[in-house]
Amino acid sequence: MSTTQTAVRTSTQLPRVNLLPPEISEGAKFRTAQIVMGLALVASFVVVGALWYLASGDESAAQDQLASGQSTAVSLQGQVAKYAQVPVVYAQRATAKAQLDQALSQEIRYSYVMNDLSLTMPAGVWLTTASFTQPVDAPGSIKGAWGNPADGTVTLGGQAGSLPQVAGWLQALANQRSYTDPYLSSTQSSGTGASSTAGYTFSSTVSLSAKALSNRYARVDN
Amino acid sequence: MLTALVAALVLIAGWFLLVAPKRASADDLRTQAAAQQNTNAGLTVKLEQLKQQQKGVPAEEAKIADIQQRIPLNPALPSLVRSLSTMAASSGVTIATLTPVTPVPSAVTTATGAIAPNGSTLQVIGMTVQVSGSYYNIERFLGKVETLKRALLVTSVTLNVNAVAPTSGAGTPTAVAGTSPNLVAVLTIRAFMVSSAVAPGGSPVHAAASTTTGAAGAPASASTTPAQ
Repeated sequence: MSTTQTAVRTSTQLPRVNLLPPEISEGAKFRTAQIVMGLALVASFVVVGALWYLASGDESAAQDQLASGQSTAVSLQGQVAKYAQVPVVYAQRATAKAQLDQALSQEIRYSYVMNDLSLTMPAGVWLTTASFTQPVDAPGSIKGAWGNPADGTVTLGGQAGSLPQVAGWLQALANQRSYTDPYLSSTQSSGTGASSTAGYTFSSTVSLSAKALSNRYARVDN
Repeated sequence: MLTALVAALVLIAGWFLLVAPKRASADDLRTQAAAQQNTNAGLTVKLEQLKQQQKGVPAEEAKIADIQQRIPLNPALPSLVRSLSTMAASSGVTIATLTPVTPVPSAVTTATGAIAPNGSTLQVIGMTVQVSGSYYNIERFLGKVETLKRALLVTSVTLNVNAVAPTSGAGTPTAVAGTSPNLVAVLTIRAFMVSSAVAPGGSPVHAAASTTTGAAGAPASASTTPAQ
């Protein structure tokens, strides 16, 4: 214990003498500062280089991604080109269908009209003339005798045994599904009562409504 | 102090001259790549649609061929005359006159898509057909006209008693009720064709023909007038 205290006292009490000249100490400090500054400069270059390297890698990856996408696009466009005729065929079909619709959109099946007419003739009435006309280039441009829009006009002339039969004829026209606006244009006695041709001649008109249109090409997906 | 300034300058200059352009270039390339991927996605979808549509092409071509039978690419008058003659014979009517006129562009309001990409349009071949026969035979003939494979549009029908026909009912008003006399029917019919070769109002060759028949389905004489 005593020995230790003595040793400490001795070391703190010993005089310390710096024999180095101040120039040497200053030079050492200066060299240290130079090294630190040089390292800082080198570090700045290293940092810039590292950042440039990372950015270059990023750019390269993006470039590869773009090149891959462009390559895929070329491949896809090549495959699409193989099917170039497909939309053309569909367009041709659409055009053909539109032209068919354009051609036959105003079709009225006059065989049906004639058949219906023959089935609804009342007894004692005969037709001598029949005329069906249809302005297909301007559908809906005409009106019936009552003012309703019409797609065609039917003019029917004939003979009936009596005026009530003429009236019955007009009623028969009115009952037709595809007819509208039946009208009597004229009627007159055609002979004496004793004659075998006694009766009345008449002229009547009726219009064909839109119900007369067949619309079969509009319905069918040809 | 100067060295610190140089180091700072190196960092700043390096960032703006070397790093920032690279980063901007990378961003631009990524944007382009994203746009390209979108384009590719669209192309992929389109390709799938085309592959699906490709399966339907034979059916579409069959439909086109079917419509072209209805509306041919030329007047096709020979086949039309033969068809009308055959139908008349099978219906029991006699075609007295058949008068086609030259094709003209359709005046019907153009349906959407009715004009083909190549500009071809619908042409109308108007014709007047005069037939004689009984009411029911004329009705039957009309039914056949309406169901012919070639698209025909009847636009007017005029029926009159045939004053010169040697039938028992001639001249008497028995057109519909009772025994039908021999009637004369004047039919206005439209046939159609698709052609870009015909200018509006123009008239292709072989378009006009006038045929007179003596008996049902048997042409007695025929003459063809070249178009003007």
